[in-house]
Amino acid sequence: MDVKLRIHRFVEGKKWVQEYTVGVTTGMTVLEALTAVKEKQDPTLSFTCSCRSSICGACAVRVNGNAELACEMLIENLVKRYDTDVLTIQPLGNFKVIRDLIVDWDPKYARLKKIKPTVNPKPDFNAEDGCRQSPADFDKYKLYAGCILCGSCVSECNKNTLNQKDFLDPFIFVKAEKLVADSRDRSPEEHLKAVVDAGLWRCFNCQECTAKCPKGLDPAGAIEKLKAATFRYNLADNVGARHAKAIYDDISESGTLDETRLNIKSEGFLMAGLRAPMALRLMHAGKMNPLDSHPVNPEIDTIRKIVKNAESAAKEGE
Amino acid sequence: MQLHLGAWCESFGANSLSEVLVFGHVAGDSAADYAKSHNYAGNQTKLTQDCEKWLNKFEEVTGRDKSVGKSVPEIRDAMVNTMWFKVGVFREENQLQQAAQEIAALEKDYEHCYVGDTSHVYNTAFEQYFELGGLLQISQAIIQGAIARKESRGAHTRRDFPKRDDVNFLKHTLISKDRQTGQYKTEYKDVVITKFQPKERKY
Amino acid sequence: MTMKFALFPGCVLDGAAAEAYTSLKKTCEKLDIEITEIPNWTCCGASHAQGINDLAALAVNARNISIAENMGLDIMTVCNTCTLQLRTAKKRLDENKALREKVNGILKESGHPYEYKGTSKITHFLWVLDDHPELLDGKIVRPLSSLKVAGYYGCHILRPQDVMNHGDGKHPEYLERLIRKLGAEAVWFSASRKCCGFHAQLAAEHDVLTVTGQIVDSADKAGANAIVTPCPLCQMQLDMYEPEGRSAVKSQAEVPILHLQQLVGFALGLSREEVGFNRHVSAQEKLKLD
Repeated sequence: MDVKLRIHRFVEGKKWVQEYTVGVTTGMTVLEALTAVKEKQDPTLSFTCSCRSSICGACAVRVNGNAELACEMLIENLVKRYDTDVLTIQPLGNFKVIRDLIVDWDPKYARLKKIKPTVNPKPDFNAEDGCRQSPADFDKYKLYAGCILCGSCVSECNKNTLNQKDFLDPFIFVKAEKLVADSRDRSPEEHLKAVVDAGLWRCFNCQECTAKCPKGLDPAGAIEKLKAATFRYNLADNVGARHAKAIYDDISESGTLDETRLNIKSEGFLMAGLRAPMALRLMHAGKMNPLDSHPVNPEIDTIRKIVKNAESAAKEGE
Repeated sequence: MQLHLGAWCESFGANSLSEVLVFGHVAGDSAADYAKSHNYAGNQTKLTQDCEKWLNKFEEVTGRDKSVGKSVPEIRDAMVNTMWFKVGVFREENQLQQAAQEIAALEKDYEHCYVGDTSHVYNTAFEQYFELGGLLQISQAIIQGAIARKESRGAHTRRDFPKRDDVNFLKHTLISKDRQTGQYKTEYKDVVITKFQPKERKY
Repeated sequence: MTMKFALFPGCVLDGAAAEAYTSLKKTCEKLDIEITEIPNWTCCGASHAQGINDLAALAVNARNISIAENMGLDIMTVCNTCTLQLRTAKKRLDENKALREKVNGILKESGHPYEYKGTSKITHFLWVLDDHPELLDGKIVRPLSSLKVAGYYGCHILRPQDVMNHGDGKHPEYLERLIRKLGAEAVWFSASRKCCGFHAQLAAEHDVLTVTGQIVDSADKAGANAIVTPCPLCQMQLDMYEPEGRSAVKSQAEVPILHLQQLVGFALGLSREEVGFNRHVSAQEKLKLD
C-alpha cells in the first residue's frame, strides 16, 4: 500500500505544503515514514526524534489535525481511522514553528516557570534524617511524574487555540498538580495561586488534552484536582470558581441547577444585571421565567446527607 | 552491541542522565561566568579565519549534488551492518580485519558524501552528517581496539582467544587518529591498580 | 420488541432546553422506545461539581445510577456532559472495588435505599440510534432532502476515548451516518471539532463568544443550512449566543441550531411546534423544511 503524506513545510520564512508518496511496510510508524522520506526522497524534511520508543517525547506531530507520537502511531491505523490514503502532517498546534515539523519549546518553558515548578521542601527534611514519603503519599502524584513533555496535550487545546496569553498549557497544569499533591512540598498554595492567576478556571473542559496524552496522564483531571485544591486553600474568589460552586451547591439546595439564579450567584448582582438583554431574549423565547419557582427534589434530605458525608470522607483521605 | 547496551543501562535515568543534567548545568553556568569576565585570549585573526574555514566547509558539504557519491543514510546503514555482524558480542580476527577495511572504505566514501540540505536553520541533515563522521571514527577505534586485544575480558569476547590474559593484556588500549594521514594508531597504557586487585571473575 | 430505558434528562431539559425534552418524548414514541424518567434524579455535577469535591459528585452520581439499576433498566441520556459524568462515575466504580465500597458506604450512611451494583449500562440517544438503525426503518415520512446539515458532536460525547468509546473520537462518523439516513445531506465544516466553550462562558467570555461565532460561520461557509447537535448545552451556546458570536467574528451567518431529537422528529413527520422549535432564539425563519 502507498500512502501520500502532505507535509506542511516551513524553511527560513518560506511556507508550503509538499506531498510525498511512501510505500507502507507492515508496522510502519509515522516516524518511520518521515524517516523514509528524509533518507530516500528529501533530506531537507526536518523533524525531531530520539528514542523511537515513546519515552523521550521528541517526535510529537499533528496528523489530520490530531497530535500523535510519531514513533508510536502506525500508518495503517491512521489510514483505517481516517479512511483515506492521504495523511496531512503538521507541526504541533499552539507552538511557534522553528522549521518544518520542529517547534520551539523555549516559550513553553518560560510559561512553565510561572508555576514555580520545583518542590519547595518542608523544613523537617535534613541530611541526617533524610526525606521520607509513604507509598500512599507517592501514589497521589506519581502518575504525573510520567510526563514526557511531548506537547501533544497542547496541540488541540481549545482554550490555547483561542488565546494563549491568559492561560497555561495542559502539561503545566499537570506539573502544578504534581507539586500541589506532593507531601514533601511546604507551600502548595504558591503553585496554586500561580495557576489561578495564570488562568486555571478558563479551561473549557473539552478533554482534548486527556484524549491526546500518550502516557494517560489525564491533564483535564489534573486541572479538576487543582480547582478542588483552590477551595481547600481559600484561593477560590473568582467568577469561574463561584460558578462551579453555585452548581455544586444547587445539588444540595434543590437537587438540580437553578438556572435563573446561576448568573447572580456566579457574577454578583451588578454583572448579572448587565446581562439583562440576554435574559430578556431568553424570556421572549420562553426559555426563562424568573417568576418560576425552582422545584426541590423530594429526596433532598438524603441527597444533602450524601454530599455532607462524602465531604467528611474526602477530608479524612487528605 | 555490548558497548551500546552497557551505556544504555547506565543512562536509564539513574546514573549518567542525572549526571549530564546536574554537572552539565554546573559546567555551563561556570563557562558562561568565565566567558563574561574574560576577553578572548587567543589570536582573534586565527579565530575569524577558522570560522570562515568551517563556514566554507559547511557550504561545500551541503552544496554537493546527489551524483557526488553515497548519501549519509547509505553510509550509516553500511556502517551499522558491518558493526552489527562483524564487531558484535562474539568477535574473531578475520571478521574484525574485514570490518576494519569496510569502515575504512566508508570513511573514504564519507569524504564525498551527499548531504542535501543547505539551510542555516535547524539543519538536521547536516547534523546527521556531522554525527556520522564521529560514529565512523569511533567504529574504527572500536575495531582497532578489538583487534589489538587478543584475549577475552569483560564484554569483549574473542572466539579465537576465549581466555583472559593478564600477562599480556592487563593494560589499556589507546586508539588515536593522525589528522594529516588519517592513519589509526594503537598504543597501550598501564592500568593503575590501587584498592582492588584484578582477579578472575567466577560467578 | 420495544426498547426500554431509564431516562436521565439532565438539568437543562427541565429548564432552558425544555424543547429537547418534548421532542425527545415525541420522537421516542414514534420510534417505539419506552423511556421512563429516573425518579428523583439529581444534577450530574456538569463537570463543575467534580471540580469542587470529586467524591461528593461521584457519590451523587452513584445514587443516580443505583436508582436506574433498581428499575432494572439501562440508562439513556441526551446530554453529552451528563453522559460523560455518569459513564466516568460508572467506570471508576466498576474498576475500583475499594472506591465502590467507600461510595456505597456513604450512600448507606445517608439513608439511600440502594447500593451501586454496576448492572445498568449508560448510553446516549445518538448511540442508540447508531447501534439500532432499524428503529428508523419505515418510519421516515419526511426525508429531509432540503436540509444540508452540519453535524456538531460536542466534546463530551467524543472524549476521553476510554470512557466515551462509541466509534473513533478523533474521526467520528456516526452523526453524519444518521443525518444521511434521515435523507439530509451531511456537510463537513472546518470548525466541526472546536469546543463551543459552554462550560467556560463566564470565565473566558470573549474566547467563548469568538468560538461560537467561528463554529456557526464555518458551517455556513461550508454550505450548511442547519446545525444539529446531540448536546443541549452546545445547542444553547450556539443558539442563544448566535448574535454575540456573529459580532465577535464579524460574520453574517444565521443558521438554525437543532437538537438531535428535533432533526429526527422532523424526519418522522413532527411539526415545528411539536418539536418546540418556537423556543429557539436564532435563525428560526431560516429552517428549510419542505
